[in-house]
Amino acid sequence: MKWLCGLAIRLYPRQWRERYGDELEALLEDSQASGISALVDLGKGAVIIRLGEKKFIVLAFAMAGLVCAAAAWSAMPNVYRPLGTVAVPKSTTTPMINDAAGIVLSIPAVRDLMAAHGLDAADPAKIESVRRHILISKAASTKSGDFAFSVAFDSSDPMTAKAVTQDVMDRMLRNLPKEAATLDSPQIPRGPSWPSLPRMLLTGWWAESC
Amino acid sequence: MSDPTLLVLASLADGDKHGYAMMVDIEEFSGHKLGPGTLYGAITRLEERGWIRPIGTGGRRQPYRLSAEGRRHLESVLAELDQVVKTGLRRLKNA
Repeated sequence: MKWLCGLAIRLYPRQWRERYGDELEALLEDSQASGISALVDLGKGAVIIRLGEKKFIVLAFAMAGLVCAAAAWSAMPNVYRPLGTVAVPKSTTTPMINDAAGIVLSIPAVRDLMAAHGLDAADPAKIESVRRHILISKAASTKSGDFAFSVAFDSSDPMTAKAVTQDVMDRMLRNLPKEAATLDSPQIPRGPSWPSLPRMLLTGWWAESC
Repeated sequence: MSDPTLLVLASLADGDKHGYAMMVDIEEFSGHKLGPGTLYGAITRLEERGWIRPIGTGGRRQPYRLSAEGRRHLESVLAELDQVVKTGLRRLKNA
């Protein structure tokens, strides 16, 4: 372990070693510090000294990273998620809802849904993306005592998000027992569910939503 | 109170010491065992600020001395700490 501590001194900058290297070696000899804790302490010390030497470079990289992150965040589209709720009889089992969802989310059905809303259904990747953005929850009792599940579609366009959510709800209803009914229709969201913070600050959406 | 720079300044307050002597002294009066990297990191910073300086040509066991500026800084920090300790103790007594 002693030779490892000697190696750890090599982690320090050359200029620093020229000034303090011999003293540090003498300290290691006198204190007989050669365990893991001494090794870790030397490594930590070397990092701190090196960062101290290059603090302006580190700061510049950190600032550049922050700017890139903010730019990437600003470039991300806002996501709107209108929510619709379908009330179902308590006798409706989870497999029944899953079966209905399976029909609605089948590739031909999603292709048809996309075509109905003017979305490009030629690309299989886009079909898959739309399938991933359609959200159908499990049925559960609501606060008002109904047994219901919710439907949503995430989109960067609030109008499309609302229209597709409504259409998915209607398609679900067609594949469920006739007692199932719309409890809450989806509304055009006032603001994005996941707003881009820099854009939100720049456009004043924050003030509007308050 | 485990700021290594303050511990080094306090160790040098009663006389010149080299690295190992500081390490032993600090452990005795504070209970903190400073690692070699931590100790020399503190020595580097203190020398840069002019609060300690190497004396003579100590070679591998270089002694350090508290400078006048370092002494003033130590006195000021200890006065602040003293105020905190006194206030804390008084409040504990009255609680």
